[in-house]
Amino acid sequence: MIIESLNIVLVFLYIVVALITVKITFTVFYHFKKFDLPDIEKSKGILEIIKWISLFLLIVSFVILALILL
Amino acid sequence: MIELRENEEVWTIKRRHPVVLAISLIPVSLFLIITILLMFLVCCINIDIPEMIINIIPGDDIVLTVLYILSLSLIILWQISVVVFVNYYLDCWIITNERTISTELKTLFSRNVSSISHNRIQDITVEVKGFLQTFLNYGNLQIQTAGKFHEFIFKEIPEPYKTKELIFKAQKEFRKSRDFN
Repeated sequence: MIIESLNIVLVFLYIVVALITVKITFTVFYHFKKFDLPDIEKSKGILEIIKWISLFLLIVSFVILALILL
Repeated sequence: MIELRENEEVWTIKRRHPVVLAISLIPVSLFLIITILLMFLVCCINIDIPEMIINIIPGDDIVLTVLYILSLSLIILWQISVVVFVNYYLDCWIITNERTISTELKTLFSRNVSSISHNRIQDITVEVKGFLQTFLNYGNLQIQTAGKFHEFIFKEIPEPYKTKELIFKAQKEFRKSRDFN
């Protein structure tokens, strides 16, 4: 019973953190596109780094969560 | 959002001094390092877990749960660093041959873009205060304008005196091209 409740909390936490991450990443992309600064070409690399690190961290957390649940 | 006019050339783009970004990232970086160290510790060191806890949750699951919570906090800290960096990167001042443009990301969901023509500039004040600003040569540059237009402040930009000279030069050339003199 305790483990089941704990698992639900862990899954809920993952969903909340993943949603926050996706929201922030999309907002950052939106702002970079909207501002359209003259040196925007340089910032494309930065956006790629932000995207891939966020994705990597989300995958790592998901794998750990899967190991706990299985 | 920033559309340059016909024949308008970008002379320079100014952002806050990188040291300002570094200072704002120090607390997040510290927490990031601590979190990563804790993750290594949890993986490498065998900690004696009290039997009372082992009876409720198996030992392996405790280690995984702690790792999982640490990985989630790592994601949150990374997102905080991203927001701090984006705030730094999108707050910039663009000096062109015709005007000065200011773009400011006030919060993640509120932004402000304004511009001022060079012929409206009346005076420019540079403020460099404190040891760090003097030593690293950065500070605020304030543009006073004619009329009741709001003040333009370049916050904590590197080489403010050079920038001031550049704006005056741009103003001079702008006036010459428009036959103001």
